[in-house]
Amino acid sequence: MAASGRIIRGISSLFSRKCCSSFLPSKSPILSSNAILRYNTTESSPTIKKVDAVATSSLMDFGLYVAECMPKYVQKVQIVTGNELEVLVAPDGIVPVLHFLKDHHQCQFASLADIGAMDVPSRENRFEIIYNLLSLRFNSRIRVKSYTDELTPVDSCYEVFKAADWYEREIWDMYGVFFANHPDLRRILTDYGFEGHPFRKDFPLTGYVEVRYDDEVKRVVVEPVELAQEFRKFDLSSPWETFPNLRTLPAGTEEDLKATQTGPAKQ
Amino acid sequence: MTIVNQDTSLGILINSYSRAGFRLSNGMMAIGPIAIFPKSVLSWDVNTAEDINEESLSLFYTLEPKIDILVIGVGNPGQQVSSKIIQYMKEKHISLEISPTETACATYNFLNAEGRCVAGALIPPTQYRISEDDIASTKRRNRDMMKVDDFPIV
Repeated sequence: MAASGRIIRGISSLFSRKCCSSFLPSKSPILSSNAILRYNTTESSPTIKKVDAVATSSLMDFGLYVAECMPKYVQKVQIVTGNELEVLVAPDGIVPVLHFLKDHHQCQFASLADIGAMDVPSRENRFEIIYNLLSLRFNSRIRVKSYTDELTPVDSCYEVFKAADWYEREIWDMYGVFFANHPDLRRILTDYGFEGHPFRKDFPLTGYVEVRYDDEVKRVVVEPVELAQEFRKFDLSSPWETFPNLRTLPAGTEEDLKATQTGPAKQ
Repeated sequence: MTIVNQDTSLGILINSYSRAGFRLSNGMMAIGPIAIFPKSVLSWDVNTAEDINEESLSLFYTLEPKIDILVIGVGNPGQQVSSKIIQYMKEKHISLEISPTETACATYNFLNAEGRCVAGALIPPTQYRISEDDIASTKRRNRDMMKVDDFPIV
């Protein structure tokens, strides 16, 4: 039993990607620190996520590798909340970068977990489109972020990931970001005659219209919203510190691409 | 879909569409663009989606009781309806649901089945996907399932 366990762990370390070079078959099956569960009674704050510096640096190496492979589109690479890799791309490069991440042998992010968007009205390109990818082969995640404004369409990544179909419909419905070459871009969550894009920051919480059943005309009518009570905003801050364990958090690390790029930057 | 469409209490529903027109659940076939209501169907005098103007939509906003939603099927995907018309209908307090005819037929069907006050303005599409099932049901209708032909009749 113990021997088979060691062989399994050896195989998993064979597949783990410690640096961006190819597999290291000569690596002995040493247990990595996060491979087994063990009760550690000397731990001081078990609820705080531990930041593994080795894993973070190898993640950063991989991010720089992606930036070197796609220098035309990748604008920035960053690591947020300790262990999440984000690649910031120009909107023209969404489909090429996603194609690269899906099909390249060292990446193999074949699973599109989610597409989300974020509205920051103060920016010129107010919407940020966020693609979350998962690599089953290497057990890692990556986030690809891009930007657009209200009028500029974004290329749909339906040819790369079929799962993008409904996610992009949702972003169209909720934010109003148009996806070009989408097979069937129409509303998915809002009601059929609904106007507006609810997740935008300038759309009010209560909306503009309300529906009620009118007994006189015997059907549901749509009317402008009337609040019986004015909107109350509660200030829930308390004078006492709520999370003393989280006083210091690991900062996100960014790598300045111009400093590390040698070949491609010289073009 | 065919079984659901046979419930006559729901009103007229669309069974299928083609380049020529639409087959409805009451057995009728309507040729060309149609304006369809729960209890009646009319032929609609419009060429393409861009030709929709206030006059072609005048029927929908003069009706009583006022319809909630007008489902517009623009034919092929990519056809646009002029934004002035969209604005105009918004002023008349009729919500629009503009989409390619393939999805507009289904939208009209289940909005009608839900019991909402909906009308449909549908233009037959010229390009659409044909499945094996469509070819088989056409043959069954024409009673020549045994015949092998080069050009599928739709």
